[in-house]
Formats: sequence, structure tokens, C-alpha cells
Amino acid sequence: MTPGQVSVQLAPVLHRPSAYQRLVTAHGALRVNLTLGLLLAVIALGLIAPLLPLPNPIKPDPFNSLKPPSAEHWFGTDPNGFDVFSRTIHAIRTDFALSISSVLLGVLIGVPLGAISGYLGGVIDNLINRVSEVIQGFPQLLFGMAVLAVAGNTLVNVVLITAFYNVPVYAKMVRSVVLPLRDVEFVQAARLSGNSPLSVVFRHIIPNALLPVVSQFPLSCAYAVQMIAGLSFIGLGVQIPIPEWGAMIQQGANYVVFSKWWPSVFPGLALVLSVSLLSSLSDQLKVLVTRRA
Amino acid sequence: MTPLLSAIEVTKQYRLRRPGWRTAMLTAVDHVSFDLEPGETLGIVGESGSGKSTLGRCILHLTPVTAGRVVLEGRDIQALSERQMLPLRRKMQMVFQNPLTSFNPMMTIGQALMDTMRLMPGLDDKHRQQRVFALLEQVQLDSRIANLYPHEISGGQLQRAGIARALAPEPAMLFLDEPTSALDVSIQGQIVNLLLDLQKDRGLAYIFVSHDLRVVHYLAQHLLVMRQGQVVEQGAKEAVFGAPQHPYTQTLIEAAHLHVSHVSPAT
Amino acid sequence: MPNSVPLLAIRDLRVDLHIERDVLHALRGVTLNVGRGDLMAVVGESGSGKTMTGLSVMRLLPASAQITDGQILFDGTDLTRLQESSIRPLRGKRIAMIFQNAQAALNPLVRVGDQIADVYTRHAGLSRQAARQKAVEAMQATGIPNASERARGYPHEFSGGMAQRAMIALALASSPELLIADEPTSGLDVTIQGQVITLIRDVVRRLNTTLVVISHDIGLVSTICNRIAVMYAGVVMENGTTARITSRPANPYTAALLRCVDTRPTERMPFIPGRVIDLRQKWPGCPFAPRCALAQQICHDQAPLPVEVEPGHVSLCHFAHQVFEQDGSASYDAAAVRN
Repeated sequence: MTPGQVSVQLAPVLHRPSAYQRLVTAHGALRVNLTLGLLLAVIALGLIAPLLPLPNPIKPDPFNSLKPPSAEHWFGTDPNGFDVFSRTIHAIRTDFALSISSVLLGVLIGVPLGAISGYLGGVIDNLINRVSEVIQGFPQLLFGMAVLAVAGNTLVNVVLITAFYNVPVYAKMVRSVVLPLRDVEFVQAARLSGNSPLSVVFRHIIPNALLPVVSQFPLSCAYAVQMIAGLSFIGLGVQIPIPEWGAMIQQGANYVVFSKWWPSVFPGLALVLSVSLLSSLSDQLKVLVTRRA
Repeated sequence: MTPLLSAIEVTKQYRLRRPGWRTAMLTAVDHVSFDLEPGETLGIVGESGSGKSTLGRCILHLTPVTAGRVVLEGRDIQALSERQMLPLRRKMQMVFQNPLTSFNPMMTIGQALMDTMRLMPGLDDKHRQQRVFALLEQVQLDSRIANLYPHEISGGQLQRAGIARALAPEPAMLFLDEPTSALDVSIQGQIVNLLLDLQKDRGLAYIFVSHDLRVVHYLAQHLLVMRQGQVVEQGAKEAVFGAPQHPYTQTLIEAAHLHVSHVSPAT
Repeated sequence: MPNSVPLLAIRDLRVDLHIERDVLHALRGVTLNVGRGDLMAVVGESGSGKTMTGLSVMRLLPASAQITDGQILFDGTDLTRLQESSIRPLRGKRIAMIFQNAQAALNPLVRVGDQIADVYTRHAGLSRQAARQKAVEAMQATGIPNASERARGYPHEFSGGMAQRAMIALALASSPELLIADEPTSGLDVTIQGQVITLIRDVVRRLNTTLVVISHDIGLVSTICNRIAVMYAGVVMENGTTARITSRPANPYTAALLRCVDTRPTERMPFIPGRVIDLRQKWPGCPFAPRCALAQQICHDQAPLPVEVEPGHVSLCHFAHQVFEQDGSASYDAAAVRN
């Protein structure tokens, strides 16, 4: 070392583990790959459903109604003669599209609300908190039914009502992460750098509040799928002939007693599988929330 | 010479909630006054709860004062709005105590430095990048650090990056809040010497806050000793170290094992 | 003259720490002897492994850490070979530990006096009444004013210094043979630190407890300890009496460190250039070589062996004798003044 030259060695950055690697380290390759693999397979199946050589899911065939599973109809046929297998697969699109879009909408509204509420505090914070609490106090399904009855039983309304319930969830989550961030030094540094409050919130605070949001997202989708299926089960939301698991379960419900189990059980299994995969993914993602310092 | 910065009877109070409907007032900063001349260092010495960090936030317009004035280059700033304050922000910057939390974990060091340069409008991206590298060099950091994240470099390096960030808008003064306290003793000197050099080269003024008298000794010409929000002693370094008047100052000096006869006359 | 068999003998202890995919070699062959009645300071900076050493003795290492080699002999028994169930009766009774954050070490839901009394009922078999009385006495002995009232209080009602005293009372309630204090004064106000450290010395002396203080503040611990071990990057660089180490260091790191904490004024603040080696890597030579002003090729290539420069004073350096002869300071003026 020569005088005047400080040797400041750089640590060799051996690797920056990717999110996937961190998941595997925490949960083991089997669990992570199984969950991710199955979930992606389900979604992929849903995406390519129209391209598959499946019987038309919305073409009724009354002469073929309630046929048990066979080589021709793997999951049998339902009371309207629809092929259950085809409908179960096509329903993936319905259920996932509806749930993901409604959660996404809830996130897009809830996250900024929570961040602004947490950062600004005061009256705005109080207002948003109280409104959130009121929303969360309502029994979801009943309220959903009421709104759909009044505003009309459209798919858009189903998405909106489900999104509505996600707004307070994410607003609260983000707010609790933002509160301690208000006083953290890098936020003060951002203010000293001339960032306006809005800029501080969107450029510095929200990105640091996103990890818990990402971890929670699949779980919210799981709840949303259940809510949508629930609404459809009671006849609201998705209507025939659009394939949707809840609706399918409802259509077959009356026939289970007559030991014609297949119209309800297969969509039921699909629902259970999807919800489990989503919850499991959410659980695994939690480990990413704590950043390694 | 007009002082660069003056604090005049700066007071900051917080309302505390008490059980029932009563409230109590906590006085974090109690009528603090001082002058900071250009190119000089004011050392603020105190322990936790002394109000030194709150004082910093008041001066830097991060929190409103309850009473008193903060005068920057002859202009009162305590009552300015955020928008009015914006063009003045580049004159005052801060270096924080904990290097790890003073950087946004989701931004690289280079990005963090660029962020501070928003205070210098009229620079295009290419010039900003050049400035980033120039700044890193001035604090003796390898330019490759610009692509690394805060948790990927050491505390000492982060602290230098913090200094580089504070220097980005070419300020006239830096408020340094315990910048060496989180660092190993063997590394502290790297930062202190760097600060000394920067001050000489650029004529920067410093307000250096620390509980560590040894470190303050190297940098400060004037001292402010604070305790529970109040200034208990104030004056030139030699005077305060050489003949401390207040018992609290005396306790601090003893605790730091500093011996009166060793105060160097040259500084 | 204390017993010549050390109460605690750590021999070539090696510990690895697993963080995600990396392996940190936190301890790389720590050798240390603590005699009965010693007041030993283990001094080091970040990455030195001092805290790991303390946790290893108490077998309180985190799950991600592993003892890969070496022995920890406490009164002749190798603690590394014992099962958890055999360690438990030792912990808290014969070996006690106090930590930096006293508030975190105390149960926030239990009154302080009761927590201390617990130790007496469990280890000394006293009745509740007698234990409570003893607890108040212990708190008085650590200088807590109004001890009988305070005993009914909860940890959050105690200030930092008070809580630290309570923790000391708690740790010493079982009259342990060995007390390990890990940074007991960090985080406390500077004005309190001196009081607490002297309190620790007085209390362990009275109970004839052997003390090991782990600290980054060599100046502070040298006020109470009779022996110092200086650690760097997982090894013990120098070990000897406080008087000799501070006046006549035999290791370049120790000498440089002492220069950094010296309060005599210099033109520029002394420091050690560079930074600690990456603990994820194994180094064939001396870990301090990259930063050492005296480093030669052999220092980078070959690990130094411990050298006894005078009785009871050991240094891990190829040039220990030279550093010792030169009185440490002369060779370090150059390094200190250099920017």
C-alpha cells in the first residue's frame, strides 16, 4: 500500500441468491418445485384449454346427461350433458382470471392507500383506518349477495366486490410496514434530497413495502377463488353456461344423493387443489419477506 | 463574517399522551442557540436523550420547530414550506449514524447517489453518472460499488458512500449524526481523516454530533454540550476540554479518559 | 497463586456459521486459558469471533452454527462432547452469562424480583419467602436503590443501567464459578459504563467468580481485567496480562488497535487501513496480513504459530519477538500517520 491510497477491498460477491434459490434453501427443493410446478401446470392448462381437443364445454347435450366417467367422458357428464372434464379444465380460466384480477385491483388501490395513510398520518390515516375496519366487519358473502342483488349480477360486479374486500387487507398491511419506515434514515435522506412527500412514498417507501404484499398475494387469490365459487354456488355471479367450479358444484349438488357424484366432486377437487397450492405458495413466500442484511 | 447557519433559541416540544385526558409536554430541545461559521466544525456532544438528533432534524427542516429561529445564510427557514425550502436543501445535507438503514435497501449505491442529485436540475443523465463516479473516487471507494446494494458492502464503505451522497449536491454544510459510532474503532479514523480532508479541500462546514469526545476532538473547533435538551456548556474546544465548567461536562471528559494536559494547542 | 489448572481451557476451537448458501468460518482455531479467579477480557472488533466464543462455551450457538473442531474444557470436562441434557445443569448454575441488551434478557411479564428469586428456589432450594429476601439482597448488592420496592417492578420500568444491574444480580444469584459478560456496557451511557464495569468486578470478586468479559472497548476492560486476549478474524492474536499487553504489545494488530484508542492527540486520527478479511474464505496465512504494515511474504503464505515472548504472554505472529522488542509503538508511527 502506498501512502495516500487507502486500499478498500471489495468483498467478492460470491452470489446474489435469486428468489427461487432462497425459497429452495428455506423449504427444500421438493416442496418448492412441487408447489410451483403444479400451480404453473394448472395455470398453463387453463391457458391452453381452448386449444385442447376437448369437447365443447358450453354445448349442452341433453341426451347425454349424467353419464358416469368413461373413456369418452373422463369425468362423466353433468345434468345438462356438458362434459365435466372439459368444463373443469375450462373453469380454471374463469376462476383464476376472476380471482387474480380482483385481488390485483384490490392491491392497486389498497397499497397506495395504505402507504399514504401510514406516511401522512393524521386525519387521512384515521379516516382510512375507520373505513377499512367497517369494510372488514361485514360478512363477505352476505354483503356480496346484497350488492349483486342490487347492482346487477354481472361478472364485473363480482370482480369489484371481491376487490373491495382486498383493499383494506392490503391497506392495513402496507400501513403497518410504512409506519416504522417514516423515521428510518434513508427516508429522511430522501427528503433531504428534495423528494416531495408523494415521491418519497412512491419511490422509496412502497418498494420496501412490497415484499409482504407479494407474499400475501397468492393467499388472497385463494380466498377470492373461494368467494367467487361461493357466490356462484348460491346462484349469483357466474351463470350457466360459463364453466366455473362453484357453479358446477351447485349444478351437481342435487344429484349427489342419487350417487351421481361426479358432476360435483371433480370441480370440488379442482377447487381444493387450487386453493391449497395458492396457500402453500403464499406460506413459502413468507421467507422472502425478511431480507438478508 | 456572517455565520453560515445560526440557531436562535430553537425549541422543540412533543405532546405526550397520558392516561385519562391529560397530556404532558416533552421538551426535546430547549432554547438552543449557536452559530456555525463557514468552513468550521461545531461539535455537539451529548448522550442518548440529549436532544442532539432532534436538534438536527429541526435545523435541517425535517421537523417543524416549536419556537425559535433557524437562519441559513441570513435567511429564516423555520417557517418555510416544503416547496420554498426545496431550492435551499442542497446547501445542507446529512450523514447518518447507522450506515445500513441510511440507504434504501432496494436501490444500488449508484442509484442512491443519483437520487440526491435531483437537487441539481439541469444535469443530464450522463453528467450525473460522471458525478457519481467522481464522488465515489473522492471518498476513496472503488467505482464498482455503484452497482452494489447496501447489504453487499461493509459498514465503513457504506459510511463513505453516505458521505458521497451528502456531497452530491455540493452543499455548504454537513450535519453528521454520530457517523462513526456504528463503526469499529480501527475504522473510525478512516472516516474522520476523510472528513478532515474534505473540509480542507471544499471549505465545508460541519455540525458533528457524537457522544465520543475523542472523535469530536479531532474535528471540532467549537463545542456544544447537551443534556436533556439543554445546552449545559458551550465554547471553544480548548476551553471546554481544558477547563470544563459544568459538572456534566466534567463527567463526560473523565469517562472518555481524556486528560486535560493532552489537549493539543496546535488544533 | 491461583490454581494452575485453568477453570476454562479452549483448545483450537473451530466454528462454522451457515448463512443461506454461504459458510462463514467464524472461529478458526481459538485457544484460550482462563484460570480460576482471573478477570479475563476477550477483546475484538467486528468479525473477530469474540461473541461466538462466549456463546460456544455456553453452548448457546444458533442452530446455523456448528462446532467443527476443538475442545472447551470446563473444570476438566469437555463441553463440546456433552449432550444438551448434560449442559443444562451447568448453564445458569456453574456458568452464567450476561448480555448486552438487559431488557431483552429479562422476561417482560414477570416482576424482576421474582425472576431473581426463581434462581434461588431452583438452584438453592430455598422457600419462596427466603428466595424473595435473597433476591432483594442481590439487587441491593448490585447497587439498585430502593431494592425492595424495585423488586416488585417490571423490566420495562427499569432504565438501561438499572436493568443491567438486575441482570447481573440474576446471573450471580446462583453463585456461578464462571461469569461470561458479553458487551455488558455497550448501549449504556458513557457516564454509566464505568460504574457498571466496576460493579461487575466488585461483585465477582466478592463471590470468587471467575470473569470473562467480551468487549470491543479495550480501554474500558483494561480498567478491571488482569488478563486480555485480543481476537481478530476468528483467532486469538495475543494473550497476556493487561499491564504487559497495553504497555508492550507483541502483535502488530494489538499495537495498531492500541494506537487507535490512544487518547493522546495526534495530527490525524489513527486507524488501520483496509478491512477484515472475508470470513467465508479460508486463508493460508495470517488473517491480518493484508492490513499489516510489517507483513512479509511468509505472512501471506503460512499461518503463524503462537510464540511466547515472555512468560504468560503469547502472540500469534511470525515476527512476535521483533514487535515485542521494538516496543510496538515505534513501528506504528509510520502506519498511523499514513492516510
